[in-house]
Amino acid sequence: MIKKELVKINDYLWEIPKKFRADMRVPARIYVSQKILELVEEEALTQLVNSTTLPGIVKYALAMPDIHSGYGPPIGGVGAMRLSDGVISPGFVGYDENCGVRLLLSDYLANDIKPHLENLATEIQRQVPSGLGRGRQEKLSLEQIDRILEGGAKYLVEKGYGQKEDVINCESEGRIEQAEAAAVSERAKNRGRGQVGTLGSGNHFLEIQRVEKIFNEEIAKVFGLFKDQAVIFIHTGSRGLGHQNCTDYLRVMMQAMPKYKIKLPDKELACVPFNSPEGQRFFKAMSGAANYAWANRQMITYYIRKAWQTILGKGELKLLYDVAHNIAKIEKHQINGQERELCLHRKGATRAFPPGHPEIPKKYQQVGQPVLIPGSMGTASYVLVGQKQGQESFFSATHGAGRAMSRHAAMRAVSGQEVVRNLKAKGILVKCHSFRGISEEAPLAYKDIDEVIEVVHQAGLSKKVARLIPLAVIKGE
Amino acid sequence: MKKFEILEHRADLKIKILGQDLAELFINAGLAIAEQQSLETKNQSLEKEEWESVEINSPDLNSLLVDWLNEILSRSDLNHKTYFNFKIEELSEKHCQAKIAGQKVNQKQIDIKAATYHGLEVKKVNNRWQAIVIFDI
Repeated sequence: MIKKELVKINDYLWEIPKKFRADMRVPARIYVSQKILELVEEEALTQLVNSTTLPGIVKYALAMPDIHSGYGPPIGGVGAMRLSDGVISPGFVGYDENCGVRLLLSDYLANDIKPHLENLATEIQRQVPSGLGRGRQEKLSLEQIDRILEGGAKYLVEKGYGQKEDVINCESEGRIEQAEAAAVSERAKNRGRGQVGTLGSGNHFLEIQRVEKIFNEEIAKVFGLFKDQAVIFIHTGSRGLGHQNCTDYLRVMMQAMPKYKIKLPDKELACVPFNSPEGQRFFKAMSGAANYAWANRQMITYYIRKAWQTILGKGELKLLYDVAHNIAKIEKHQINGQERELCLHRKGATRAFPPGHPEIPKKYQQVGQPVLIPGSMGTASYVLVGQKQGQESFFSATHGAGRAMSRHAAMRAVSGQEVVRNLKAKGILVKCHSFRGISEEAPLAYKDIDEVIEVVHQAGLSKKVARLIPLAVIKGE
Repeated sequence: MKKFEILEHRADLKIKILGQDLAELFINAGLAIAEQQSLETKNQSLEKEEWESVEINSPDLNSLLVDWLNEILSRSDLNHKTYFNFKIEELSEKHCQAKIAGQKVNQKQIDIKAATYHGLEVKKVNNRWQAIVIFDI
C-alpha cells in the first residue's frame, strides 16, 4: 500500500519518499486534503511513483488534487525534465495533445439571455458539431492543415476567424513557434482535415454559464468578470490529429528506447532524450498538434460568436484566456536558486504563472495568469489566478474535478435520461448527442469540484477569483 | 463463448478480449471497438462491402495487438466508419495481414482516442487466448 507510506508535509501536501522504491529518481508529491486522499486509487499512486523514474526529472513528480489513474503517468500529473539530459514523453502529454479550455465573456447579464437560452444552445450545437458523425461540411486541404500546424490560432485570426485580442489572450499567443508540419504524419493531418471547429466527446463540452460568485473583486475587474455575467466555457483539444500524433510517436519512442538504454516500469511512459533526433522531432510534431488545438478552439469561438449574433443580434464575446492542460513545453524555472530550462510535462494539469511572469499577457501582468478550471458536467467551474507560491508545483494547478467513479459504475448508477432530468430540475439545459456519454459524465462520477478548488487555493497553487455555474451544457451534434 | 467483457476502470475503457485462437482474439478485439462506437452494428448486413487491406508489422505480439486496434481506430475516424467485419489472412507474433470492412455511421457513441500499452496483457489461459486492453476515451 503506497498510501500507508505517504508522509504529510502539510494539510494539503503529501510525499512518497524516494526510498519507497529503488528505481525512483526523485520523491513524488501529491497535493490533496485528507478527504480527497481517501478517494485516490492505489493505481494512480503507483503511476505517480512510476513517473519519478523518468531520466532527468527534477525535484519531484507531482500530482494535482484531481489525480486519478490513467495510463503512464496519472491524470493530474506534472513532471519537469532537464533539457540537457532529460527526456520527453508522449504518454506524459496524453493522446489529446493540448486538450485545454477557454473562457469567453459576454457583456450580458445571465438573466437577459435566459429567454433566448434554448435557441442559443440549439444554434451553438448546430454550429459546433461533436465531430463524431460526418465532421464539418468543409474539409480543409493538407496545405491548410500545414498552415494551422505551424500557425495555430494566430493563423486563423489572420484569416479573419477572430480578433487581435484572441491571439494576445491565448497561452503562447496560440502558437508554439518550434512546431514543424513536416514532423506530423500524413495520416494525422488527414484525420485533422474535417475536425477544425469540432468538439469531440467524453468530458469535452461547451457551457453557457453564469458568474455566480466573485471571490476577488479587484482581480475579477482586471479579468473583465462581474457578478451574474453570462460567459461561455469551451473544453476540447486536438481531436483525431493529436490522437494519431501521440500514437505515431509512442511507436517511434518504444523502438528507440533500447538505443538510449532507457528502461521503464510502464510502456506508456516511453520516452527519449529531449535532445535526441526522435525527441526533437516529437517536440516539433506535438507543438504542431498543440497549435492545431488552439486553432480548433479559435474556430469554435468563431462559430459561437456567429450563433450569438444570430440569436441575440448584438453583443461581443471577448476571450478572457485560453490555457492548455495536456502539453510538454520549454519553461524557465528556479531550481536551487538557479534559473534552469526545463521540459515541463503537464498531463491533466493547468499552467498557472504568477504576476510579473514574462509569458503572460500584458494586461494580466500585475495580477497573474487566469487559471480556468472546468468542473464536471452540470457543476461549477472556476476562474483562479496564478501566484508566486506556485513555484513549488512548477506553477501548475488542477485541470478539473477528477473522476471518483468509473464510467461503467456511473452508467450503472444513473441513466443518461435521469441525469438530464436532474439537471433540468436545477434549471440546467442539456443538449447532447448520446445519453451514454451523459451518464458516464454524470456529476456523481466526479469528485466535488469545490473541495478540489479549496485544495488548490489553500495549497497556494492558485487563488480563487470567481465561481461559475452552468445554464446550458452543449455536447455537440 | 463471450467475445469480450468490459472491466472496471476509473477513467478509461478497460476490455478483456477472448478468442479460441489468435486470429479470433484479433477479430473479437475489433468487434469490441465496433460495439463501443456504435449501436448500429448489431444485426447489420453489409450491403456494399468495401474491403480494405490492412498490414501491420510490430516488434512483438503485444505491440501487434495495440497497433492493430489503433489502425482500426484511426481508419474509423478518418473514414467516418465503424468496422465490424474482419478477415485475418496472415497472423504471426509480429505480423498481421487482414481485410476489414464497415459502414458509415451517422453518429458514434464515443470517441475512442487510442488503445494503450498500459496494463496490457496478451496470454494463453486454459488453451484460449485472452487480452486485457485499456483504451483512452
